[in-house]
Amino acid sequence: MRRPQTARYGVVVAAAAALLTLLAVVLTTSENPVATVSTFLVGPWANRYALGNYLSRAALLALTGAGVVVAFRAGVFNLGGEGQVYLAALITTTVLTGGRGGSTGAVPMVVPAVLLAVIAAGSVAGASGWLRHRTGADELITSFLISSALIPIVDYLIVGPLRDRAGSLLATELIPETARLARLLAPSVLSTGALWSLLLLPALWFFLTWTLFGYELRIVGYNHELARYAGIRVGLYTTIPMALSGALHGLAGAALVLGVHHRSILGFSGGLGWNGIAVALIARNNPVWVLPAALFFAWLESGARAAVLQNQTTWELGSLIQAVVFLFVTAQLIRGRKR
Amino acid sequence: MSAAVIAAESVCRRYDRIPALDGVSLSINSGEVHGLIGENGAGKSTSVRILAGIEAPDSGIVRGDTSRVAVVSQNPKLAPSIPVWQSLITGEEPRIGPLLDRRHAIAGVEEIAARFSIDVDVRRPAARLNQTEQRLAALLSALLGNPAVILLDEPTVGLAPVDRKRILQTVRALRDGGTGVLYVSHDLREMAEIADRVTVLVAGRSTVTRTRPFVTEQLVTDLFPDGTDGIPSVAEPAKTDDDAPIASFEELTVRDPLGGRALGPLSLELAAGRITAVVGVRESGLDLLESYLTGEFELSSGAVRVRGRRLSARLDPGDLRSRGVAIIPSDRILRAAALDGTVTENAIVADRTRIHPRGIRAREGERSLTGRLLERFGIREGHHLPLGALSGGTIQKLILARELDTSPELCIITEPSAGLDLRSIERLYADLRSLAAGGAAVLLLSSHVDSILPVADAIIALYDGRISGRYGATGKADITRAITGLVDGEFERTADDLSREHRS
Repeated sequence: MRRPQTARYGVVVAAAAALLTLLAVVLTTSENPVATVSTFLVGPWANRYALGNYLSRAALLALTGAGVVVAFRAGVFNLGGEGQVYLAALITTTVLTGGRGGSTGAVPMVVPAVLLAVIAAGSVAGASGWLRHRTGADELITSFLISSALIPIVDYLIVGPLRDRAGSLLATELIPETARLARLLAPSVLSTGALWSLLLLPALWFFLTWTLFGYELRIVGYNHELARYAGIRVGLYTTIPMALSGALHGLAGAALVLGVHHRSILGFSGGLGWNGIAVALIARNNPVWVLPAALFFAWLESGARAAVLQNQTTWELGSLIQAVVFLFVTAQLIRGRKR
Repeated sequence: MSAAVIAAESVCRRYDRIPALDGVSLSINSGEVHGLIGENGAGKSTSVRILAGIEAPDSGIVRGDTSRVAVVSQNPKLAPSIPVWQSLITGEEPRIGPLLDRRHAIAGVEEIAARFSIDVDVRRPAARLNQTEQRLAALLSALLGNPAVILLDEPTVGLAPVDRKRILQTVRALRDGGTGVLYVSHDLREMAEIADRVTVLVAGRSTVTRTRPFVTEQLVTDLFPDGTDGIPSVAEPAKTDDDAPIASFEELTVRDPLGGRALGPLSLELAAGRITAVVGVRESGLDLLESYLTGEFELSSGAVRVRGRRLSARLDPGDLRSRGVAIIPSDRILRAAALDGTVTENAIVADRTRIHPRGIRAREGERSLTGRLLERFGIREGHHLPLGALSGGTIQKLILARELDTSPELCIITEPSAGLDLRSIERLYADLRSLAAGGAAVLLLSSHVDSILPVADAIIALYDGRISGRYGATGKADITRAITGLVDGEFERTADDLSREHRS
């Protein structure tokens, strides 16, 4: 009964530390501290464009954050989110651009494209869970390694065979307009893809707290020995949560293409996987807190971007603040685990 | 009388508005063993945490230097794969320049071990130590800081008599060396043997402190000021001598893949309506039997049948459950509980499919089941607390209640009385008797003859992996002789003789 209290307190400390770091760095480096701070804090809400981009980013982070939460509640860790998002994004693009050249048959292909992307990302992550159960190979390591191997392959496909020769970007062709998700706050990139998170998070919460599957998953996460003793199939609850985690990352990759960029660009999904872990940590692996955590983290990211674009500070400030949040939240997590 | 090294005065502590301590005063002098007794949930563990300065009291004061107080926990944390001495010196490593001075480190640890006659091989990895040795290692770890006071929280729970002696011996050596010892236990006879003074906790309040010599009857009255009523008595079970036993072990042998010890051949029958106990020191094969029954070790030869159906050589706990077999392992906290989960989450684990009709959670069923389990042993805790916030004894009770509630056909309990106070033991025995009276078979595996004598109908003594005697619910002296190897037993006899004897 003591831990949850310190836990909530810990998140507040992390947020406060992040803001203090921001103020300290800005006051010592910026020529116009007041403007920088206000750009940082208010930037994400300054206009339709900034607000839409901010919400779009938060929605994507909520999806990957939810992915990390599912695995973590079962006591496994999906460290391969980066590769899973990237892979799913490329698959979505490839299916919808019909491979090389030509943009044939768009609309009926959207659902299969997303499904294929989600299944691929889910299988990649699920394989790590299965390996963990079968061979004891640490899923933390295998998911990271598989993901690290996937990234350069996807890189190669984007700059090589699938590159749009007509453009100067290191990117694939654009998907047909009919396949794109509707924009909500033009000219920003916010699209109906953001609604996916709003639908999925309550579903995830229900699944984890109200179903037998969710209950057994939690018991496996608490204590493998107890699960085995109670006759719960530990292997199932190691593989399926990892696969679900991968699937949610895959969905984020699909949303990134369908709603935001409409193509795959070299390295364009970078950070969604890692920052999803940060979001899950801030949310303390509780689906209810994933959305607020994603909004907070996206706010930090967008604020930093806004301040940078106005030449008031450096990119490092954004990374620094994220690092402080990460450090505090993780330290809290480790302290909470030690008893 | 020497001065108190540490003392608590009128200390109170609440969790979630439920008072855990409600006026506790006690003091520990140097060179004394101060006993602390009380039922589960009376506040013993909380008192320890407050005296050690781990928690601050809500009101009242702690006098003395808490930095010179060391706590020895029941479940020590040692890195399993590295030698024990390396775990122990962490933070205080002797060095030569930047390097670890291995020779001095080991010598230092061994010197203190020798001074207090702690008999543990600190060069072995912790994973290779048995439960007693791990506790001794934890004690050693506490002593390395040269504490003025040492707090022992039920150090002998679940240990065999031989191993209890080892621990008690060390406690005496500590006292004679001038260390103050707080000794928490609910074993009154052990208390009378070791303590110089005893403080009694009743419902979070320290009621009285007695000094040597103790009258055990007096302590019982102190512990139960309202008398021991309220404990339901159950009529003697109808002993149905059913022809087909519920379960039978046929020349079962189990080998320890690491240590080379073996159990068996062991043959016994578990009949409906009967409570059978297998007693022996844990290393006599009791631990191997448990390892097989909980699915850790494979059966080397022989067979176990439940309702005539032969079980596989490696048991699957889930499969056993579906056949109506409940097993409570000796390490309940590690293997049968989720400390991070809530009380409710832990309570419903055996009955989870019924709590989730069509896969969806039913709040009402969940609440009534949890309430029923808590009520069985009179636990007052909230349903939504994390289990880890409860005292060890309370967790034990919840686990027992959970398994008994499944109304098993065959109920196997290892170390049935471990961690329970007198009232709960009585309650457990009453429940086991009514379970048996209802037609179930009960098998108890225990390293304490005393603890199973009041309840067992048949007692089987183990020594060195073999059956060394079979008894009715009688003579303790004979049984004690049998498990310490003073009886020839069934060593040279054949399995045929055994089963013939058993039938007669």
